[in-house]
Amino acid sequence: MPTLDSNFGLIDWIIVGVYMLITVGIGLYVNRYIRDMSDYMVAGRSIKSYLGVATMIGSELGLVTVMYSAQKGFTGGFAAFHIAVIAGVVAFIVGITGFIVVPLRELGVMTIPEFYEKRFSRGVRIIGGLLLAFSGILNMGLFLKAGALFVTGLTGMTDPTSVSIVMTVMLALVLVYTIMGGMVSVVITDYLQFVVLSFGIILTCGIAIFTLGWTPIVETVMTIHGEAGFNPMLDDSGFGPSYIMWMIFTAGLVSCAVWQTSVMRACAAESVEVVRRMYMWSSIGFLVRFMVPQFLGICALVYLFQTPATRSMFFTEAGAPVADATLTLQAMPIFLSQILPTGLIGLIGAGLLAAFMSTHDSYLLCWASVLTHDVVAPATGETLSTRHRLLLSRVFILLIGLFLLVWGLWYDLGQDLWDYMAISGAIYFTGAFALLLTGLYWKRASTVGAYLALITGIGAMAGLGPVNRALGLQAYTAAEIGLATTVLSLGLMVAGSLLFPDKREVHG
Amino acid sequence: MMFWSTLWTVVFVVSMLVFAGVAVMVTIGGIGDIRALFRRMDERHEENGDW
Repeated sequence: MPTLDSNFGLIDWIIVGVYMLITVGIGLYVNRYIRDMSDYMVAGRSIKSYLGVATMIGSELGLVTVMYSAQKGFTGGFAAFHIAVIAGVVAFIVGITGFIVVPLRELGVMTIPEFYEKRFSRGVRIIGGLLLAFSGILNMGLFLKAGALFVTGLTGMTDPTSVSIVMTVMLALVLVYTIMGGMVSVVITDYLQFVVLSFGIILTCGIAIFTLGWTPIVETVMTIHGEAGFNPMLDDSGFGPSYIMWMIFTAGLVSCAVWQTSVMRACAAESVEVVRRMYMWSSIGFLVRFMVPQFLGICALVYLFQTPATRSMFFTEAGAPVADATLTLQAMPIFLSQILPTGLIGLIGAGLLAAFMSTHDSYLLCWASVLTHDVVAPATGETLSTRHRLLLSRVFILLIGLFLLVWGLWYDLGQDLWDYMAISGAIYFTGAFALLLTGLYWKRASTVGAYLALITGIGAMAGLGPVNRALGLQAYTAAEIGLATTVLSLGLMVAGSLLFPDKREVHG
Repeated sequence: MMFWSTLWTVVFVVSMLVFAGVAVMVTIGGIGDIRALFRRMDERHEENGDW
């Protein structure tokens, strides 16, 4: 594990500690507003535009996003910016057209599986809910590890035991305020995080450019990556046309209109107009959440390349970045620990750790709610009382938290974190996209087609590093497997619907 | 190469400027929205007799 003397000092630890206490305090305070599942899951559908934008960006601009995007910037150079541009443009188009999110808000559902039952059947809702939760929990399985690597790099801590303890304490804090406050505490802490992090990252980018200089950054990327560091269409950039197509679908459409945590924000909005405004304004956030960390990853690439002490750690003798995914994840926090002064590094660290907690709380709440609301409740004939549903959601949050600790310790990543997340999420969203698209916009979509599409989505697991190697599918990239699964899900949805139409009449 | 490096420079600068503007607006407007959120939830609970 690479180590350099970090600028992170006692003052920074105090800043981080105070920030964490304030965050937990908010979670405990807003618990008084929680009276039913609607309050807990979608904040009583009372969120207005500004707060909606803050919570949308705050939730999606998490530490994990920062880590995997920085890694993409480090390994791909400026060419990685295409992911950010795609994310921003697609979110804006979704805001203008209301594609998927407006009809969902109009239906008044709280989760996507709830839509499955309204449109198809209860069975589809239960299977869809299970797949969604499985995929989502697997997707966040490495969040803790990414957080641990961030803490290590930023603070200069070298003892792995200390890092594990810090991460466990942080997870415990998240569990406390998410279990207590539900969506209300999530949106308030998201807002706080949005404020700290927005201004923090703008300032950090300024310091990075001031330290390295814009022209040297561009020239060094050219030296290391050549033209592939700028042009994402080139295959040797690590991207290429199929990857870009995959990004239009995942980083673009799925992350803002199909992924449950984003859709929950749309469902929590006060009105359809607020949904549209949220997406249009948040589109710049969807862009920046990728671009800024990618840029910091690029700066880390330049800084570590130019620094003799780190060049041999992060680069081969030929001057190419090393292929070690764990090491490339640590590049950005190590870079920040070197260029940010004491005090500011504590503030940025607190903001990013808050981002870590913010993502965790949103995701924990989301998957626990799905398991309660869309799997257990319908499976038991909707006989669960509000009190039991709240209790069950809180138990699921605790269990998912424990899983994260275990999974983060033993899973061998073996690929870029972003690619792991895209493909683990694909287990759910390839099928979900087919159901949403046809269910909302095609009257002939049927229950049999829905089952086929959902089950086909499981095939996306073949894109996960260890599964891919075990199946001998190394010739196919995760992007190609993800795209193939998407097309197959959609095809089977259509074929199943035409061959086995529903007998009941569909309204609306 | 020149095209791509110029494109990414322009995209980066414009994005940061727009984001800075949005950040200021949302920071100020969000305070009012938080107050409204608590007020509405209180009102809803009072209407439902939840207290």
